[in-house]
Amino acid sequence: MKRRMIAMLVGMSLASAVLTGCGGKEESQEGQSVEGGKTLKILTHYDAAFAEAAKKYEEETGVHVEIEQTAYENIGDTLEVVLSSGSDEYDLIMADGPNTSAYVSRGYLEPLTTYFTEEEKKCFSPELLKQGTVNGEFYAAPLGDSSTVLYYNKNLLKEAGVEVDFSQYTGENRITWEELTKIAREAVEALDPDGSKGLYGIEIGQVSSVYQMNLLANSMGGKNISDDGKTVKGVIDSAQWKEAITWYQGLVEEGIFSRGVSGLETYNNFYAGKCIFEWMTADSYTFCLDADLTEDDFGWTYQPCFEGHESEVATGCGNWALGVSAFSKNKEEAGKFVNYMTYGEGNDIFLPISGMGPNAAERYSDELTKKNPVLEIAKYEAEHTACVRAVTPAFNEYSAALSTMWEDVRNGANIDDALGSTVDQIDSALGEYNE
Amino acid sequence: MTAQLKWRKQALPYCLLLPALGFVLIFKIYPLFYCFIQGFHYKGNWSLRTFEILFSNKAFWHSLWVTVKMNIVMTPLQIVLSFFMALLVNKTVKGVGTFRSLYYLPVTISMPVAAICWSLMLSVNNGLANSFIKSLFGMEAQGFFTDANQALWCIVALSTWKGCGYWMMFYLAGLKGIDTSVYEAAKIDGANALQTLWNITIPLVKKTTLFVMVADTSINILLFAPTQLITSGGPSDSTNVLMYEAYKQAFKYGSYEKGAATTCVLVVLILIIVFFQFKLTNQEE
Amino acid sequence: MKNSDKKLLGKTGIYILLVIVLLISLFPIIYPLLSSFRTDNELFENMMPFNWHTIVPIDWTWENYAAIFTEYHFGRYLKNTLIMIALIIPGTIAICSLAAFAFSFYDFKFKKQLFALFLLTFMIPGEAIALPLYSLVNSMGLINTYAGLVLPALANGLVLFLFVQFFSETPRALLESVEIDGGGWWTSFSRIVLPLSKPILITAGLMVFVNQWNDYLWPLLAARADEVKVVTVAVANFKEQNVIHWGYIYAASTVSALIPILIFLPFQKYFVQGITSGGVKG
Repeated sequence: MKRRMIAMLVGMSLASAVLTGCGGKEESQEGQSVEGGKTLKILTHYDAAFAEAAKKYEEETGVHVEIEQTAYENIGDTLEVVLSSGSDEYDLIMADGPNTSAYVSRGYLEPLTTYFTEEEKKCFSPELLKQGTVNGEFYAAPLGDSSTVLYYNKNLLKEAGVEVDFSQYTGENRITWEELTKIAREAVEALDPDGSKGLYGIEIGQVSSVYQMNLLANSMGGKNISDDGKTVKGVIDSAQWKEAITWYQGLVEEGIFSRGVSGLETYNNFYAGKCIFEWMTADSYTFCLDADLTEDDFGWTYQPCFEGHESEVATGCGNWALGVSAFSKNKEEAGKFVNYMTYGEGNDIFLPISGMGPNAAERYSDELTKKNPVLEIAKYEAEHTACVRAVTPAFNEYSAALSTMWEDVRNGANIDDALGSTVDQIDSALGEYNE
Repeated sequence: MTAQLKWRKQALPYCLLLPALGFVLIFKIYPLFYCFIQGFHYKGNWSLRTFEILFSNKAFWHSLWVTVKMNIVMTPLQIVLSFFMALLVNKTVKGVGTFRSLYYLPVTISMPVAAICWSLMLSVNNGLANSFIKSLFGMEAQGFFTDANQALWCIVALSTWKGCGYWMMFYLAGLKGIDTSVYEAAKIDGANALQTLWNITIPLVKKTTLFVMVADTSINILLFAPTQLITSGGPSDSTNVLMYEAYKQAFKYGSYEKGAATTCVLVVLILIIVFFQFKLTNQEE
Repeated sequence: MKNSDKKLLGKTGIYILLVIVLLISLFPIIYPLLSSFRTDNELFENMMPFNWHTIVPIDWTWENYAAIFTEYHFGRYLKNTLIMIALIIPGTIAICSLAAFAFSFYDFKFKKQLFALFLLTFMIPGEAIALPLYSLVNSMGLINTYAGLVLPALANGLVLFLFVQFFSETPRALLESVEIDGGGWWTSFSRIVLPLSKPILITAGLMVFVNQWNDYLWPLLAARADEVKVVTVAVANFKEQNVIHWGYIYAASTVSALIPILIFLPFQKYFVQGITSGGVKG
């Protein structure tokens, strides 16, 4: 029996040796190209922006950063698998902001306290700092920010004969959702009365995600989670939430808002002139240009507020953040690189390439706003109206349940039932983390 | 024969098996075993608590029901359709080989790609299907993947479209293996086409049917790619199959124990179904 | 009705059926194929109301193809995929055919149990064991290597099963005669069994090919580096956080569907033959 075991192991290792021969070589060559200095590794979908910043960093410090590219939708799953196996493969962890808390609770992230001074931390927009901080400890530094903005199709409005002076609106004096839906209704009536063109009044960019949808409830004064982060009962089934959902559901029924499978299609509908308004993010400006639109075709304004809730308007914020893996063997170097990429000059290289909004008020430079004028609105929102997503280790469960809720009410589900089951689901997930 | 030679002769089959066995043990059985062990853990300790939590969760039973519902329809549907497709391409008409190959094409499209194509075609807003029925028939736009009553069946349609060509090939092989003299004898006895099909062809491809049934069942029970790629389990959890639940637990929520426990339930489920399929088909003999 | 008329009618009926099934099978493929030759805006603009150009492009363009091969280096991932497959097919065939040879021509203890064990493996969900498998492969240091992609796929229960079915048709007496002539198992295997197995080799090869070509989750986890990344994973790159390049996806899909088609068509005759003699028949 023993002999067989040995033979088996020998056979196996031979086979793997032969096969690794092909893949292994390239790697070792790559390792050698770093002279003396250490190598840090990261998984990201912002590969171009990281590469540029890392190049400069290597020149200055000799520390090489190896960038592994993956699609945005695969980052979370891949990191979960890699980190849960305790692998030290990645020294730097690029986490979607709201995941920070979950990663900390699973022991994936190292505190950044020693790599950031108090003053440095204070420079970040307060909501972003809040997102990166768990139990009073700073774990994930924001790479950038995002903000929600309303875009409109100038051509369609003109064609419909609807005139709106968008220049009158400011951060303090926004268009209201009530006015906006009225305009949308009129325009659709004029352009596509029988619905044969498939034209919609208003589309929402991230039409199922809590990032954008919760803002409707937040703008009525609703909160995302209880103050102690332990329950959503009495929070997301509050009167404010119900009012917001009822309003939204009514307009979907009416055909002003579309029913969409994925937000990504709604973007294409805006680019192709199939909807008049689209509530997107500040960086959508770039994508509009990419889709061959010019500023003659589209314009933008502040996110609308609800009548009677003007002071409560809540806009989206948060973006990807950078942290140090708890399993890294090069924590020291990784921590310094995180500082460089988020607070230091690496961030100045990163922002224009990635298209993200800046993570601090003072970073809104003329150069950036010239490239993307929508950032001027983003700057105002970050300082005044930004509303962070729920900070909880159960964010993924929370987000999945609430996305389903938004989808269900969009498809006509009974609001009380949908909210009831969502509260149960989220609270049972929160309960397990609290146990 | 010397003792050494005898030993060698006895050891030979094991040696031939060794590489395959080694790979199976290391890359399949060990991870599965590990998965089962994890399922019987709770927060790092041996416990049945994970199963307790799982079984007391309404969502689990709902997912189990969705999985069963989907399979009760999808597996027989695929078997019947692929059988008829095989009958069709088994006809000796000119150019049938080309048709055969073309029917196989959907199999070669990878699931991520197929899912993207179908979800765009069946999109509610401006999908091709809705554009078609709205403009040409004046019908109201259908919800498809966004309608709780339709989404699961859209996934069934997508998977059937992608799967039938594969099973068709096995049926075709089965049909080709039937001695043509049997048909001639039936013809002489005056049997019509339907009788021949029912009394001769179907019983003669029973072994193929068993194989297709077992393989298709185990693939379908674990199928979750369309759910993951298109609906994320929605709307109203109507497409939240058990395997997707396991995937979410392990990959999204970081609770491997729950994911592992769910997987255990799935594997046991498959074994039970496959066992009954064997029993059923053997009994008839 | 005359007999020949009846026959003609029957034939026409068969062709009509053949074409209907063909349309259903192919439409979901033709649509992305046509869409790969147009820009995203053109695609969405013409979606409603339904007309000829909802499906057929107005301005045909190679733009999408150019973009995926230059900007996104799709060719590189294509090459990686082909290398992976070129390693997996012979590997799987060698390992499975040897094991099947043992199962078919020798009697030994635990034969039934071992065979059952192999059959069990094709009921094991790859996705379910992905986490422990990742830990294992990672501890072997094989993440981001071809070995990490290939090794876990080598032992394939389905392929083994087909081989066993096929081999069992070869009379044992033939092998015994080899032994009487003083030849060993290798002579039997390489001189007698393998030469008879051409159809099953091709069938097994194609099956492995299709499975591997479609595999998504494991390559996503185990082969993230550009040096080993495969096409199914690379296609996801066209879906960015705030924008989907539909045209690119369609172009990439067309390319990645074209290769199995080109490989499958010439061999389809053997494929059927392989399964037929593989004994899954009645």
